[in-house]
Amino acid sequence: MNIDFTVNGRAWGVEIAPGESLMELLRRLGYKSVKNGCNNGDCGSCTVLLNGRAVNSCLVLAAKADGAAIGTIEGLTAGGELHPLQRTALDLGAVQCGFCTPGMLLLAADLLAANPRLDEAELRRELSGNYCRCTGYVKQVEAILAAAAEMREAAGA
Amino acid sequence: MSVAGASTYLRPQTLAEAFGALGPDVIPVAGGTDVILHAPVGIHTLLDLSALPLDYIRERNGFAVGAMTTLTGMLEHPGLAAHLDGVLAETLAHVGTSLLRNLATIGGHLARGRLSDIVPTLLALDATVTVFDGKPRTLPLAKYYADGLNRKRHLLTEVSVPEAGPDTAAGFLKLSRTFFDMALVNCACSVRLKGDRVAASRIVVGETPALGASAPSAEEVLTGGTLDADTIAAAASAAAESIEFGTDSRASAEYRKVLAAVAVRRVLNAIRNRFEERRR
Repeated sequence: MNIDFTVNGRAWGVEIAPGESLMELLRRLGYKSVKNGCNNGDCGSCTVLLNGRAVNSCLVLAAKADGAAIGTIEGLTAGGELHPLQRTALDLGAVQCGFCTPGMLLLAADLLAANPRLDEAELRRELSGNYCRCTGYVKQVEAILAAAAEMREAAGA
Repeated sequence: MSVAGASTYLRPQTLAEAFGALGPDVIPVAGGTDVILHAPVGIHTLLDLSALPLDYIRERNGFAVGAMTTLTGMLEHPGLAAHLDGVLAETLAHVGTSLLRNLATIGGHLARGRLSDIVPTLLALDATVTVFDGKPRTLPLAKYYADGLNRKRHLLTEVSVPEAGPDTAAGFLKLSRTFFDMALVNCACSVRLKGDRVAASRIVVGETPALGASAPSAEEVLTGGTLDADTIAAAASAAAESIEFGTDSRASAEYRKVLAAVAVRRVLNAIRNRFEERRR
């Protein structure tokens, strides 16, 4: 079967197998920032934005992406400028091996779009579906909250 | 994950068309999260229900929620999220994380009928479901499971929770090893008072590890009494004694029995506190 969808604004028309996952499809198309961690909906490494909402792409049938807009971490960068979530992650040392980073930042992008005043307790609760296996979580939480503050300031809130 | 062996993908436009397409090697796909992880071997056709007009929440004598509404859609509906001191929102917030809730639908969750924090709360609120098996009909959620209807040829189209007045309060508790993990035991209760006496109640314990079921003997303990510490303790014991618990990889039957009494007591205490807060 064939589906049409966009990834970070780029249009794709591709042939897929009815049972394949969006994660498999995106990696096949070269979006390798979408990590295959557990392939079981537990680790969050494959997180993408599906019509703006963060989802485990390993739990999405690719066929369901027909007509959808997909966002990956590459799409957060605008005009060569890193997104505040990306920049604070680098500045505050929230990146070690980098495997979990795309998923965590995309989750954060969705959470902050829904609630720019997300507090630390809510953030920690939501991050429980995105595993990091090398740095722990302290620096990620600090970086995401710093980005949130910056984004609020930029929005004049 | 993927659904190995699936060779056909259908996206019907009407309920009748979707129902007509059901068959032994066909699996309905709502959010798809459970299908992609646990589709039975031998499934040839994925029946995507996302084109059906079932993504809605209507406020009318309570709330009617279309089966294709995501758990996030329910959480972000201000009226539904605030209903009965936010008991549904509290429950939904415990189901996975937003990564899952942005995909999973209430209809898929209820039709799956296992591993649920939501079912106990909906049972405690006397929820009803509407199913289509040639024609639409509405029945209590408890009956849907008791009659095994969820395993028969049908499509679940809507779940409704009735209105509740200021004389009713409800609560939910999930006991698990970590926030994200599945419950060892969960509990949802609702209590309707007349004056300071209990007029009616629902005490539901889930993940026993069976799907949630109410404990009528514990409800009888409450009826006509006040929500004092002794009555609550007696109801908690009655619930733990009357429910049959099982052992699985998460917890033993003995441990679940102890946890269940604690969960019922805590939820009833929370309900008592909610009534007291309202009086202030």
